[in-house]
Amino acid sequence: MILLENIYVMFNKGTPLEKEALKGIHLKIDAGDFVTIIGGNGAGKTTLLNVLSGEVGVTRGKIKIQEKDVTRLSTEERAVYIGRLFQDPMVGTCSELTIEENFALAYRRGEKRRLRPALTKKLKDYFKKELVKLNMGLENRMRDQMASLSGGQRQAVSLLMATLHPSQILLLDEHTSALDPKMGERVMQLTQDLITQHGLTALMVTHSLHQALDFGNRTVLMQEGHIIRDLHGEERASLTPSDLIQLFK
Amino acid sequence: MKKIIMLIVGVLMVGVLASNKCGAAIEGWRINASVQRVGITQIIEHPALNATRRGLLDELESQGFKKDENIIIYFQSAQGSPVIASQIAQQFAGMHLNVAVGIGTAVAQSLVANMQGTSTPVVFSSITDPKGAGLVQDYQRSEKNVTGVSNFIPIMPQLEFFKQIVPSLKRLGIIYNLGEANSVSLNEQIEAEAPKIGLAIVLAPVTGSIEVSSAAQSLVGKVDAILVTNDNTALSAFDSILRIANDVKLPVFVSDTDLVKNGAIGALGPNQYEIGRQTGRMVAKILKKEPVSQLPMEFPEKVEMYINVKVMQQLGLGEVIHALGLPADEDIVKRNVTTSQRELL
Amino acid sequence: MKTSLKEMLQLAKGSYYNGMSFVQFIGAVELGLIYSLVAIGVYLTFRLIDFPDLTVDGSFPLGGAIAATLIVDGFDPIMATLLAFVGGWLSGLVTAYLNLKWKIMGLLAGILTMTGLYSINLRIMGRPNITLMQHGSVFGVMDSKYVFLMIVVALVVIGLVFLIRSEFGLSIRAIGTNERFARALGISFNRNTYFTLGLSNGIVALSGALFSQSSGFTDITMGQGTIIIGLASVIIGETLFWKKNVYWLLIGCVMGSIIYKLVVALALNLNFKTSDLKLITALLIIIIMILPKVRHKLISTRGKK
Repeated sequence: MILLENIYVMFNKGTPLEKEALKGIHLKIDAGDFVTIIGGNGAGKTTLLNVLSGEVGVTRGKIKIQEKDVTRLSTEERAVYIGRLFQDPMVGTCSELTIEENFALAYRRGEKRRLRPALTKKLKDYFKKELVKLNMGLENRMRDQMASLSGGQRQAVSLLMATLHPSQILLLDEHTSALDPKMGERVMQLTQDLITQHGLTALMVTHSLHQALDFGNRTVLMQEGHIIRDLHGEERASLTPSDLIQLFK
Repeated sequence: MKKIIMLIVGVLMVGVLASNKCGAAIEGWRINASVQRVGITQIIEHPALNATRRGLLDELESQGFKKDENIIIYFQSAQGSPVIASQIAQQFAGMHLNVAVGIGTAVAQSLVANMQGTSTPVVFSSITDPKGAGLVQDYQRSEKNVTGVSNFIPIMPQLEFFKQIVPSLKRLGIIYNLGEANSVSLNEQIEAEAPKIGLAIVLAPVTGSIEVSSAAQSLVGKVDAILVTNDNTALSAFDSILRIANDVKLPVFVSDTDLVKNGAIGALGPNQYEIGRQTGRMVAKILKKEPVSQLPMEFPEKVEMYINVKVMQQLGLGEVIHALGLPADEDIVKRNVTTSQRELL
Repeated sequence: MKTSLKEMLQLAKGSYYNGMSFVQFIGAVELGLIYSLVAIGVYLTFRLIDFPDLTVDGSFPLGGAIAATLIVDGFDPIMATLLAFVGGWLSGLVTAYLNLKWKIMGLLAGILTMTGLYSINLRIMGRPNITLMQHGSVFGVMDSKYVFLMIVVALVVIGLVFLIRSEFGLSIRAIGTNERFARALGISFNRNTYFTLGLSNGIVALSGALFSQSSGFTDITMGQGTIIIGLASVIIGETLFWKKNVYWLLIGCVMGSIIYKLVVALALNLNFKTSDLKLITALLIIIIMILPKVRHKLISTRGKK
């Protein structure tokens, strides 16, 4: 599904702030994989996601999605394949638009925007039905501004939005770290459900050792721009969070 | 909340319309044959245009129209904005005026456009090219209740005058604002006439008064004299032009005769104040019920020749002073000329 | 009876308030309708995509310049007016180009285009002032200028309502509220910016063309202060309709513009010096911005670029 070949990323080349964020990353992800990515600050985790989404360009290397070379494509051009959640709930939604409008926007992700009405009765009903799944009563607030929702609610809605459009890949960038534990758990559970339900390929960056092991079928450890371990199957199943820390030494 | 605002807005609108009724009642009282109402509007407040207005008012007074007794004057300045000029013209259009006067191209045009449906005559003043501005079709006839006084005088006599004062004059520089219609049309005519007496014209356009100094600088070495016409922008920075010109002993001619005492070397032109008075005479005739159709537009009646002899001395033109027989002991010499007169003596 | 009327006359002569005449009222409403297009154009850029576009001081007279020059040359006024719209669209594209391709700050890009347009407008006109008195105008289409204007404004508003309701319109609003997210959704930030700046300035140029034909002349100075008039109108509209619904706010632009022009007319009647008008406008905007409800909404969120 996803192939990252020999990826190098250099920021601020030629200036005193020069930093090589990714040094020769090689990663192959199969369809249906749910990969958790863990590492310290500056390890390059978020950069990895940004490289995949297109927000950061590579200095060297190739990115392929479903055999197609997307290295030169912009974020907008890759959007059709990729759904994304951000750490900051504000970034993943449009505050000034209503819940309905946000859904309508996400529904057409990657598609050419036409002149037909963005919100038809049919669509509104569909979105409402989707919101019911969250069990947060938001289906009655479709016409409220997104800004009136709490951070957790927004992330939950973002999650739904990211999976509305048939997509293949879901990128999650510490999407529960800004939420309180209870809400965070709820959102994580929802994440798992949606990934299973839609059969998505997912990459999740997390700071939580528990999350890294409890969810997904594969864990990638990053340090200083390298992938130092790629764990799956039996080897992974037997690990505990403290074991993980050891692996970083 | 929205309802309250709608209500307030509605009341305002009704109030405005209602006040029209009250206003009309009061107006009705005023529309009294013995109290005439004159509206004056200027494109911008500026010494030259203000002088025109003063002339107009002085003339009306001398003709027996006493302010607030048998005449009421309404004045509005358009602050240089054609939009405001439109709204002023609209205001005037609803006021049942006896005469509306527009000093300046844009205000005159706005008045003409808005007064069409009313019986109020429009008198323009101080417009260089009334035909080009669409105010009149014919210099000899007055149509559509519009007439006025132009400030245009024949160019050749001016150019010849300049040459008499500065015999070595071959190249004449003109500083003006590209955006002023009067200046642009005047310059076209000057450029057409100048070659006939062997003069070359160097144009120094600006878009605002801050550029005037550099425009003057740019002319140094390229011209034998500078001419400042009635361009509002150049006039507003006249002192800076004089300063630069004096440094290099460059003579500065003007159209506005008032500036000769400030240091310009000479002027052959209508006096803005006198144009105002001429306009006043026209307005008085209209107020005295002369039909506008009998009052075709006029060109300046009075043209004056001013020479600053002192400046001529300073520029080393003593011989010329002697040759022209100008009194060497007077600073400023003034002559009245008819537009056909060309010789000084 | 006679005495009291005489007294009224004395009072009237002493007072400076003249009732607003019907002509003045209608005139202000007409100007308000014409300038409502400016308000709408400003709304599209300043509010919808959060782009402070100052091009309008140049595209407004551009519309007048194109329309007047063509009409004087014998073109059909309707054609001339439509071409003015196209010209305005192009000028918006220039500003967008400067901003997107060369990364020039939005505010500055608009100023640059506006400055360049001054010379271009002069070139187009050939002289600083063109009179249209002897020529036909777009208003010849029907008897009442007033009704014609209302129809034009209504058409523009309706067209925009359809646009904003569409997926495309929603995607345009998205780039104004959250650029990063919009890109992640596959929305072409660049294309939408070009389109909106083009549309906005096209509408403003249309307004300029209508203004020239309504006043009977085009003058190179007629663009000065257009942005202020537009902003004042938008802000008045937003205060009236702080409901926040985009569609209502469009109507708010029209109402705001009309009210603003009425306020100016009123000020003229109250014998305010026209030089005070600028101060009054500024005060009006300040007062409205201080009102808490409106303030909350108007503080810019576009820091995150």
